[in-house]
Amino acid sequence: MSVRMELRGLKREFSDGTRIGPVDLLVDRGELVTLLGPSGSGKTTTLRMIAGFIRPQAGSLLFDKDNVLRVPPRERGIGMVFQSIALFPNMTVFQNIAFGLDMARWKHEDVVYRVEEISDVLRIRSLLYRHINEISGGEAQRVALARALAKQPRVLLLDEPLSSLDPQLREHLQMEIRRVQRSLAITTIYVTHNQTEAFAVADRVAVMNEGRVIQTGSPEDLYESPRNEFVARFLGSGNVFSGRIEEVREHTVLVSVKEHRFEVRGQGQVGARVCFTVKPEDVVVANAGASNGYPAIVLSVIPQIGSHRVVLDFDGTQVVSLLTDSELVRQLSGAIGQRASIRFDPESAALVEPCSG
Amino acid sequence: MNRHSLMGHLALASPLVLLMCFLVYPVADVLGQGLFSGTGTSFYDVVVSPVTQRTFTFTVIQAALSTALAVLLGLPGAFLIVRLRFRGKSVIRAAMIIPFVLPPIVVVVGFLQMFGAFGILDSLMMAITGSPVSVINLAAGLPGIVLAHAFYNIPLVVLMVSASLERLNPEVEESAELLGASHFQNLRRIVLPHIIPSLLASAVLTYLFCFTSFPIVLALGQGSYMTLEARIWYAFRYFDYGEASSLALIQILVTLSLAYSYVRLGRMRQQGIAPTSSAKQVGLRDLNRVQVVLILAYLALLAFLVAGPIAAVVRSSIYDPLTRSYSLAGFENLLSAGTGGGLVPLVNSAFYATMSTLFAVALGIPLAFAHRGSKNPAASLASIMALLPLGVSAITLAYGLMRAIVVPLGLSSNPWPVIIVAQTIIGLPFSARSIEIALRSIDPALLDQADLLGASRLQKLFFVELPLLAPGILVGAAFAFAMAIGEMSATLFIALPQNVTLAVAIYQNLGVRKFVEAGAGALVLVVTCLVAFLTIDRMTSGSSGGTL
Repeated sequence: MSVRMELRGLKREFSDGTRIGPVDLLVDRGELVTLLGPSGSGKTTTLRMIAGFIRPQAGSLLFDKDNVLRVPPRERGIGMVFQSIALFPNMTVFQNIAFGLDMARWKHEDVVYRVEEISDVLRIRSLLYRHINEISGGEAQRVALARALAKQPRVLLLDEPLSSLDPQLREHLQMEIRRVQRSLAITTIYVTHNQTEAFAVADRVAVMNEGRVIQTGSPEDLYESPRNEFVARFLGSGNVFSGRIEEVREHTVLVSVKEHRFEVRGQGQVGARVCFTVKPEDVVVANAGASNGYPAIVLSVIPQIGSHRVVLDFDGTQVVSLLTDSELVRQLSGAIGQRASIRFDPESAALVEPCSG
Repeated sequence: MNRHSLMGHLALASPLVLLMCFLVYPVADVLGQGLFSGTGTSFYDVVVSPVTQRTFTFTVIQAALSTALAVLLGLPGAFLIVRLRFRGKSVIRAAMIIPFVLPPIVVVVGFLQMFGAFGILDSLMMAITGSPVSVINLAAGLPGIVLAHAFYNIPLVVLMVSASLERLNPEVEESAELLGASHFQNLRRIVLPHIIPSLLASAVLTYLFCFTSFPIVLALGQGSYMTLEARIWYAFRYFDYGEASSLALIQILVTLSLAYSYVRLGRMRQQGIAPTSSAKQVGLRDLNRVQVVLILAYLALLAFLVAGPIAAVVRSSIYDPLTRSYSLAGFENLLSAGTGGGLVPLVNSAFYATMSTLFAVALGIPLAFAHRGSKNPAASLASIMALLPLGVSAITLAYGLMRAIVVPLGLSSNPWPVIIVAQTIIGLPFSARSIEIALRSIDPALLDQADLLGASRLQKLFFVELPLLAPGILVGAAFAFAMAIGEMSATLFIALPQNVTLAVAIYQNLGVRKFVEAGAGALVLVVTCLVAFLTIDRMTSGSSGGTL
């Protein structure tokens, strides 16, 4: 049923000058890939090119071996859940889910059987005879998903499906979507601008910016080794520093950031402008006066699950650190606006490119 | 109850009391007379009379035909204006409101000039066929009445249906498409169910307007075609009060149920309201040649039917179809103060319309405020009262005012105050609605903010609410003024020779075949109403259709 989907160089330029693509992306059979990026990065446009609502000017879209770009949307075998959910307001839940089957002229018994089957998967059997205005936001999500899946599509597209829900419900439905997607093993693209959501549901994440896919990989890959400054900043996984290489050593370089020097893993040429990232949990914070640290001003200390998030100002660069030492946190909380010191291992810092400086 | 809320209640109660006196009581009096009084023909005789049955049938049929034509021609326009991307769309959309503020009698003049004997269409046909006599006359009898009604109501259908179509979330249609629905299935299963309440509401409103249409039927029907409204007028002129009242009773049963279903449909429309989303649009370039030709043909037809008569009014003011020559006699007549001259009607029109506009606004503001707190019974009473004039025809109202106010108060020798009363009541639904829309769009947080900053109830009213309402009030005033100055039915019914207004004078001039005099008067009214329209459009920045 499911297909292996490949986007090859999909490109579209709009009359207002916005350019999307070339987008290259591979989604394996039964895999769930999230398209993650800030608003305006081309996620939804990419999705709508796959669905067939926007015609690309170049490239190809392969379902297994077939290029489907010339196939009209209704014949592509795509199930889609839109950002606005877009249930048919003049129909019941049952009629919504059965719509695609009716259009395909299924026999009535088969329609009833299939609608009940898919509504069991989504646990909405009890809602079937309700009207659309009688169900809650979370229920509407499930109905939309059931409607998209009823005809056993070859590909499932989800366009920020949970953006209108409150955080707790969202988390719950993320797991539900993951469960349903796994059990049906359907090839899925899930668009979101929320990193937590992307990481929670995805097999792989594709980060988009300015109309292109910048980096694809498992959530761990992306978090551990962001390919460039944008990914690092966007995922919030890295504190980004920029400076100039001053000295090249065996496995590391010495980078000068303003008047401070940092030792960073990686190679480069003396004099080159570079950026490097350090993950928040690798930034060690100490009280002012610690021997081998760099001075920074404490801006805020925010408690979060499992740790505290400390934001500091290092010569105009914001540095985030995650701390678990409650005694230290208590001291820093009392020292907002005062000096502290930061440091990190050369091993935990990584050079990234390109660098906007 | 503190002093402020007492004053508030008094302010809100005054329009209700006035409407009770000048609308409900007179109309009830007419209806009671229809049922129980002994003068003239009895209700039973009226109902069984073949003349009544013929009139009723004709009224129903002409309204049905007019509505069908308006919907048929309006529906494609609604789709075009929402779905097609083209330049000048906002201008066209705004101009849609123009026919609505044009006085019916002006439309008659425009129609005669455009479609009548020796009119523009006829002259063209005569030139083509080389015939020395008139070839075609579409401005008479049933075709004329139906076409003129369509002229009025096509824009109404376009505005109401396109407003609803714009609220259809494009993703809903895309969902259906992905699920395998063809264009036709999408139209039938998704789009049609979505617009049907608006479509029905516009059809009901159109039917209501056509059912009680008076000037058009009177002038284009030339006495041989009569609707209930026209028969009531004739019956009154021949002093058969029993017949007039009985016919008014029959008519009001129909109009009130139409008005009621319009309000019900309005509620249905409100339920499904979503924010106006970016509707799916296509450019002209995305269409194939057949589609483009069809669209152009449709637009040409509309231009001919809707824009044509308006433009023809200009020609009618200087071209006399009797002598087939051009003259400025019409404008000279407008400035002559003697008998049959146009100066007295001109002054009358300006005076009555100004006065009734002031009243319509003064009553419209408290009605709109009462309507806002839409939970208590006073609010629903206010909304019923504001809409009631829509369900009571102008002739019924005028007849009621004559019986219940003019005669008992001894105003028979000069009933001018009652003309102002009638024009006020006819303009009231429009002023109240415009003000209510403006009132609803005031952010409640602003008022809370004023509260927190220490403003009293009255300070809030005068320094926050009324200034914010000013554009809405101006729109309401412009609407009321356009309605009042173009009002012919009630005014014709009440007016004595010294009270004749411009609209009535146009009708009378048409009757004695003084065509340029009628045309010049009509041109003055067109210009006046265009100014009113521009005011409305300026203030609502193009969304004036919402007032309907």
